[in-house]
Amino acid sequence: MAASTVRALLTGCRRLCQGTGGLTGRTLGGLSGVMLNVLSRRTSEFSWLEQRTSFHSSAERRGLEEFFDDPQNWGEKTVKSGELWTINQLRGKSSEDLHKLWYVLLKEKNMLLTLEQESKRQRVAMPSPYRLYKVTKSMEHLDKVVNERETALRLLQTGQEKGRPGEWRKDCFGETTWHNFKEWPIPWYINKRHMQKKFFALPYVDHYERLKLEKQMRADARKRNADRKKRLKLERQLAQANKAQNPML
Amino acid sequence: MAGRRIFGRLQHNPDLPAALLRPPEPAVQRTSLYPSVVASMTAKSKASRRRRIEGHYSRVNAQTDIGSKLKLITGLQRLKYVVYPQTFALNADRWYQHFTKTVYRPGLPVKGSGLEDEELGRLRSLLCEALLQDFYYAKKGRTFLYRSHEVSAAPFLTNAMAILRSQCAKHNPSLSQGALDVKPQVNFYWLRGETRVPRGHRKGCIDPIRFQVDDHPLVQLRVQKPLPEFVPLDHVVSEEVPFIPFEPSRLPLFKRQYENNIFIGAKLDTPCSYGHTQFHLVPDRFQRDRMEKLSLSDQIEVFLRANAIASLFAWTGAQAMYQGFWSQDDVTRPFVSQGVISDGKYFSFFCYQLNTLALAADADKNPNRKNICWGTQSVPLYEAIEEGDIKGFNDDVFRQLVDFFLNRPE
Amino acid sequence: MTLVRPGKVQPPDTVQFRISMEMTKFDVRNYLQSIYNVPVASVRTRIQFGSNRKRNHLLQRVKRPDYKVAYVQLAQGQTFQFPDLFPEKKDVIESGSFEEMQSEYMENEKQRQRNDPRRGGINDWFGL
Repeated sequence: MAASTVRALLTGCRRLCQGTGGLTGRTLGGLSGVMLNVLSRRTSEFSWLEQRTSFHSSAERRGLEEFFDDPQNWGEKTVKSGELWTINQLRGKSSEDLHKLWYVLLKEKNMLLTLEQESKRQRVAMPSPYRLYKVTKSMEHLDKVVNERETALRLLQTGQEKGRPGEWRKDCFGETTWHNFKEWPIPWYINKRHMQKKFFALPYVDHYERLKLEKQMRADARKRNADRKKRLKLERQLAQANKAQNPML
Repeated sequence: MAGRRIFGRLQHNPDLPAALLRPPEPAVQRTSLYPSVVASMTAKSKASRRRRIEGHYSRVNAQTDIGSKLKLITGLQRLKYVVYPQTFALNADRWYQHFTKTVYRPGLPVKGSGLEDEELGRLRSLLCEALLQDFYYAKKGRTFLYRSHEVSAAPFLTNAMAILRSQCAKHNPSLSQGALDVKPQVNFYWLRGETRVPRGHRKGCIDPIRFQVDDHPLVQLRVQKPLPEFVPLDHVVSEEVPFIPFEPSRLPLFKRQYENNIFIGAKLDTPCSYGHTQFHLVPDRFQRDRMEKLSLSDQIEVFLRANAIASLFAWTGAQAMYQGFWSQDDVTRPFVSQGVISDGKYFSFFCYQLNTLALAADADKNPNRKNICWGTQSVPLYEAIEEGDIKGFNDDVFRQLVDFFLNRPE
Repeated sequence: MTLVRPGKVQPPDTVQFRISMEMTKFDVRNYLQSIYNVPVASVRTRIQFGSNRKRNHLLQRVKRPDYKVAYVQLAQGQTFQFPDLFPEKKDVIESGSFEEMQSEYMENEKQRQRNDPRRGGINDWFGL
């Protein structure tokens, strides 16, 4: 059930987008996609899990069978699936649709992980392992979009960008990194363990800082030279090509 | 293996003091002039192993003193499954039935009540008084978490047992001669089935599966003479003992190694060596509303049944062992005990008849000889206690309690 | 959460999962009940140590990751049997497709390589 819904969402949305140009992305969302593609689901009343042990029959048993793909796909060498969700596609969806999509992707991911582990156990190749990458990446993109929306809301409401306070600090190696604050019941200057940390670099580190800077500058210079060489080469080729095309009179 | 070999060689050493030597095998009467043809004692063969096992059995059977007999049976310590009678494991009653070869029959074996109404009325008032005392009048302070039953239900049940015993002693004189134990220990050790050792230096050996029950009933009553049997020893029971093809560790049950105790609540030289009734207290963690919330309402009865089967089997088994019976020397008459499991409000009654102790793999030959456990569903004794008044007092539960105490030995 | 086939034989109402190390028994119960609508009676967990014994070609020890295993017992007497996810399927070759041509060609090649059956199985080294 999950598999067909996800495939529907991944591919159906695009088709619907192109087909019905009038509707906006928001109304199209996962809901209508699911509704329109209910037809692609199995028509048989009993799930494969119920058919195997036909003396048990409860609707809740469709629970555990969501860990497995459509039984018709078992034993296939490749299974077709849609494309991965890009960030821009997800940015067009409403929050409810994103919430539903998250759980659909989660169930699909669990199904694929189950399949992967079973294929390792049976020492057989997993059919279409790229699906796992697509689903994982889609979930990461979704997470990113949701975080963007939360950050925007937080900025408007409180003026803070990040939910957890922190600041840029130089550690004992001279590196400047974002240090996230931890919650403590006591102030920082009484916290013995925290006071052992050093947020400053002693003078002997300057030499290594300089070495790092030199390395970075060398890399930048290399990159700039390479770009310049490439540009000049292309210009020379283009000039030759122009000369060949329009011979000077 | 090496330890056993050294132990074996040590036993043949004549300089060892007599107390440490294993008792010798009883001598076999020889009819012919020539020595009998028997398997070797020390070879690594099946016949040799059988001879060693038979030697052990004959050594045990030859003992006249029950103490030394038990010492031989429980002498060897190995990893064993510790069976807890009060367990939250799912479907524990079916597993315990499989371990103890018990058949469960709903409903109690029918008995008549011999008390008149006015005596019943007097008993009823005494019981209600005890109930009100513990649940209404006495002010219970703050107790620890999950230990409120210790201060409310436990004293009520102890008092109820004492009241019933003293009042029914007129009709049942064995009660007054019997012994009342408060929070006794009941232990039992038995062998059932066989398995292959999976890992370790004994890997691949066929080993019997060992079980140990360490039970702590709330109160128990022991009498000098045994209770009458409910059904004859060879009565063919229609129900089957449930067979579970999985290892006990899947229940889940865990293994430990320590002393193999067999104890009925008092030492071997006690005059009251037969059991009458046991009262068990349901732990506070077991709450009916919590089980219903977790959609485990069928497990409520399972918990009580498992508790009854394990505790009563252990008690009757220990009583049988105190009389000298064991796995290879099966019981010649049934051992009977009764049990009541309650949490102060809900009561369930159980009767257990031990027909066979032969549960080890080489002793379990007769599939028709099974232990039987009769039991009821849990019924409330009262509906509510308000303003010093008991609402909805259930007379059937009360009569059943009285019947239990009127059950007299022959 | 990954549903795995149990290594040792489990009772029919037990389902075995591999879960994240930070999940607890309560988390597993709520996850299964709310997302998958599976009635859970009890959950038991343990942490499986991933071996650190194998060594690579540089003789460095290679650690396999640790993972948490959950044994979930289903309520209401339900049972579950891990299915066979890789059943043998007969390859159906459509007529006129490339696979059919390919398999025909391979058959012909194999036929050419075989010796004359009238020789009775002996190889060409022997004269006559």
